[in-house]
Amino acid sequence: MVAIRVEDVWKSYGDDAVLEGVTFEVPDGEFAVLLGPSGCGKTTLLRCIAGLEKVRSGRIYIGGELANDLPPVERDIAMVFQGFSLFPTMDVLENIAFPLRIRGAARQAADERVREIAKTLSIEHLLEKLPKELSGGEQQRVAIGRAIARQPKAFLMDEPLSNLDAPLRAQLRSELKRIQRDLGVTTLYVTHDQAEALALADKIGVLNRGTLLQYGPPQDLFQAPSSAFVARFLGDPQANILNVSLRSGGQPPAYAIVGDGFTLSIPEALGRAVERHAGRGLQVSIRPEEIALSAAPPQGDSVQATVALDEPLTLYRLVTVRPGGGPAGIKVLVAKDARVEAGQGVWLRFDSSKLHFFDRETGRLVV
Amino acid sequence: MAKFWYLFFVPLFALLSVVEFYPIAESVYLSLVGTGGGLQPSNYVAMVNDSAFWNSVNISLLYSMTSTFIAVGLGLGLAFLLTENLRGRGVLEAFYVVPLAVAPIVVGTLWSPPEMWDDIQTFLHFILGQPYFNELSPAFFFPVMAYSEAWEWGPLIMLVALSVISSTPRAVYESAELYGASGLRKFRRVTLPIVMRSPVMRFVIVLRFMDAMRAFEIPQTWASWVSSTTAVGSPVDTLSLFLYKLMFIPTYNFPIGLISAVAVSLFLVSLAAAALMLGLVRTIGGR
Repeated sequence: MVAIRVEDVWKSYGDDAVLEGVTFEVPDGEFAVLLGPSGCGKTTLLRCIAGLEKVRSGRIYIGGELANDLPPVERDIAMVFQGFSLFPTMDVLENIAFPLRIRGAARQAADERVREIAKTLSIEHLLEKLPKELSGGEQQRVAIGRAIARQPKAFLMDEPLSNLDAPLRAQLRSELKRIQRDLGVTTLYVTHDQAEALALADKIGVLNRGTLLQYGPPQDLFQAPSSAFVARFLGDPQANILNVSLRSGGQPPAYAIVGDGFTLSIPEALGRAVERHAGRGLQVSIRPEEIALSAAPPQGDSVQATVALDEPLTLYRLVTVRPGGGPAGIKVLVAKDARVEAGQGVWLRFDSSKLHFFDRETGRLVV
Repeated sequence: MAKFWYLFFVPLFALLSVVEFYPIAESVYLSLVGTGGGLQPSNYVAMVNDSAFWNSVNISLLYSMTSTFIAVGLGLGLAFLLTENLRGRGVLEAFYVVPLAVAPIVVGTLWSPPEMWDDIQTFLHFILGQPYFNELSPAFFFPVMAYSEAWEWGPLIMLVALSVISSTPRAVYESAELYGASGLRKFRRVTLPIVMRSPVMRFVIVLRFMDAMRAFEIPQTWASWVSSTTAVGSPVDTLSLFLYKLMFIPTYNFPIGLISAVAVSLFLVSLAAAALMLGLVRTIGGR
């Protein structure tokens, strides 16, 4: 059990750069999740760490040892793939025993170990079956069992749950986390599902177009996104990203942001900080759960809007409002029993400390 | 109109009776016309008592088994070489597939004494000072015959193996590598079982065996080089060549009854093989 360190890794297929200088570290025993849309390079990065692909430049350390030129087997790593990866001609027992037997473990010792592993995964009753006789969820359990039997320095998981249906996915997700905690194995997990990432991760990295945008504990990414992309990618429902401009005037200067159909005054300190970038166009992100909606005008500064759409979710309702009757839609989470209906006039209150400002061109955090 | 549906089948059956049913029935009839007149099994009795017939049964079986075995070995070996990431894989593949396109009579000629062995003899004798070996002895030319058959069809086995290999997800082979088996070990423990247990591979092996049972051209080339093989009962007499000799060598006096008996027996064996292959096809199609 060791740390995995990736330093300035570049990878390209032909002229297409897939990874552009990715650097991060998974500390010993931690569960890290790489999150990104399809085609962002996350699977490629995982395959580079496993040794199934060669990097163009950069260094990959597994347990402090430079692994760039090691073949997969010498990297001492186990990988669970997204799709089918079991040996189709071997039964479940032989599949899980494979990493043990290939290193010369005696049949009896291997069988005992397999039974132990099968017990923790609740697949003891499947040991004599062939992979094609198993359901998708059972196949992934066997693949995980085989990875455990390998007794690797680290686990790599490439969207192992994405081919399963929703209830099974949630169940296996909890089991994965429990297994990782029990074994204390350093794990790097790749997914495009932010809920999965939040549920599993000690650290999350958000990857887009081959660049690691931000890497850190989930709460950090959630509360302090470094870019509009991260703000939009994490959290369900998605954060509102609004195009705004800064307005200032008076003595001492009063600052306000002006968006499509609304004006919102902000504290002077924040306004000064934003002002340095004001000429370049701004975006502001605000989470639907951080906006207060009321049917009557509240105390203090607020934005008037009209309800356009009301979507009941499991625990809340997601309401889309149009400030000042303009075309821009802002999504707000309200309590299940709130009395809101389409066409109604409402007032929104924003907590300016929850606003994040981004450069409209680069998407990078301004304040 | 609906009750005259069977009329639509009339042209089909008319055609089939002329080109298929009639020749088969005629062969069966001829095989049953005895020397003493009337229908009797005398030709079949003569067939099973004919040592030249049994010789050719043995030759055909030995020829088919050896050549199929070598072809499978060759094909799997080539498939292994091509799945390892070698440079110039495409060129190698094209090179290996060429024998498939060569007519069997050309293959027979390619591997015959004047095309190949005479030159090798010359080289061995005059350059290396070795004594001549007897290229016309059955112990030498029979394996060469079987090998040239395998040389022609090994690439087919290779193509089938490659297609089975590539129809299995790549992650299966990558898992083998991650978990400790690479190169030859991966091929033996993971790839080979996948290939050999695939119904397509089994079908092609049966097909190849049956096809080798009908081999004619390659044995015929050798029959024309080795003078001791002109009579029936020689070590090149596959069943097809045996039939051919009975028909075209005047000294046998054209024993049409015996020829038909052999033909009908071969036909029945082919039907049995076809049934076996049909079973495999159904497995491939998922029943």
